[in-house]
Amino acid sequence: MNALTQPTALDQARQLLESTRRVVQKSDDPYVISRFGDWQIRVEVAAALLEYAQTHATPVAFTEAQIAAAEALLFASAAEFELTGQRTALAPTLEDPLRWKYQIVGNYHLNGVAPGSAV
Amino acid sequence: MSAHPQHPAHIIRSDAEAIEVATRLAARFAVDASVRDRERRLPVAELDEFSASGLWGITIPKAYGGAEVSYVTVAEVIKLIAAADPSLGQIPQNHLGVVDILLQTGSEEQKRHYFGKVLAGYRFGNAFSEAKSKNAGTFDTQIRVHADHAQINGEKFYCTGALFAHIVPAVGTNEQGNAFIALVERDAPGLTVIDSWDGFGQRTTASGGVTLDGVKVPLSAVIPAHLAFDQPTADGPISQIIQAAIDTGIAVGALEQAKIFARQARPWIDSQQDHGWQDPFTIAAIGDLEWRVHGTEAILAKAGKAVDQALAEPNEDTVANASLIVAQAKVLSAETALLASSKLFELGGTRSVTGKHNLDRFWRNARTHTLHDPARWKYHLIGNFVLNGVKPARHAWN
Repeated sequence: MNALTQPTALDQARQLLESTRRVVQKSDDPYVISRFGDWQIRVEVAAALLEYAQTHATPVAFTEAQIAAAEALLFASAAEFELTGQRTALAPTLEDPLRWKYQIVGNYHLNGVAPGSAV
Repeated sequence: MSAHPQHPAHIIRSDAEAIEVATRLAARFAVDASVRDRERRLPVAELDEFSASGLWGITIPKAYGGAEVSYVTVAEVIKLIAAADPSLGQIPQNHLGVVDILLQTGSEEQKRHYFGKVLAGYRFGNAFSEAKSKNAGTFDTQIRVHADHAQINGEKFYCTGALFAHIVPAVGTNEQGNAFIALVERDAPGLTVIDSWDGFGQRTTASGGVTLDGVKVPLSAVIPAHLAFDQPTADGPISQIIQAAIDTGIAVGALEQAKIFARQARPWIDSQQDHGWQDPFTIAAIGDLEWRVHGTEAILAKAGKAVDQALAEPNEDTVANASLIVAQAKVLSAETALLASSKLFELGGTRSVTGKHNLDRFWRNARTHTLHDPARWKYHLIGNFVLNGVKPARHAWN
């Protein structure tokens, strides 16, 4: 199971945000504060795309939501380490890689090729 | 510019009609957008068509004869127009803001009077910002309210829309430092609009200067604008969602061009492909832009719903929530517009930078318009709520 592309990637990004927030508690540091703002945006945009995919079944809407969730989780993992000095382990395999999701989305929007069809 | 529209405006009746009209107008405005930018040809005829379409009146409440559309629709309308021509998308931004300030702080009689004018096709400009005051929220312009009239004196800049307006709302502070808006007729003595905007982007917004030299208005033309922020109202989020919608539109327009030019690009020698559109890195880069643009659009729609909620039930929480989600849209739209308008050239190759295509207008417009207020403070605004539980400050930029 690849942590970045599994269905729970978004939940995990949210959990890391919450656990990091509990560790940091409060801060006056403008850079720490804005890091949390950036993090929240990455989580919200992934959530918005997931909601969109659930109501508008375009061929790649779910894949776009997966990319957003994966990027939110990558952000979360780096920000957790930066702000707490610790890193929560994520599921460690390389199956179903994120990098090919961009290809699927791009090939659909640039070339009209639906996922799974022969090129 | 006269103080009256030449033709009465159509009255739009529903959200669906607003989208339909905007889609049709955007297709027409797209045709000469590049020429207008290149020649800095001010869009006088286009603006007449734009306001006569009824789109400038869609936020007027039903009780006053308007369609009172959702802010999801307002954002979509501005996005559609801005994708075609972001200068045209920007010109109504203050008009829509003034309609809301009137709703929040005008008297019943003022609402009836001015909302009727807007539905008839009158356009508000703005003489709000000043280039020389201490910061964006302070004004050196003075308004003095007398027994039967008010008088206003000052110097304004970044006055988008003023040149083409029928009424120029001008903000000044009274002796106590409270901000009032005087709704000045475009041909009023003492009001001068200067076409001095020479920025490298948003070139045809005519966002130049206004001087107010002892301009007199009747008291019926003065509204206590400061009340829109003394109490929690949707006014700040409304002003901001329009900014975000313009930048989302620029991103959408740039991505469309990126795909057209990426399809035409030659294949790179090392790709061993027959066509540029088969390049695996080009395909993935388009994939990256697509999800970012769609994510921005999805957040913009959520922001519209949050603004609707703040309008329906204005309180500390609904207004803070609207500011927070609109701030997300602001950050994402700024990031995406700048990214798409730069990637456009990377994927189109050197031929895409030739002068005849004028594709740099997307980046010039994105870079210029996203300076309206700095996105860097929006990350802070959101983080301060997430981490410290602090609600956003209430002003016209949140």
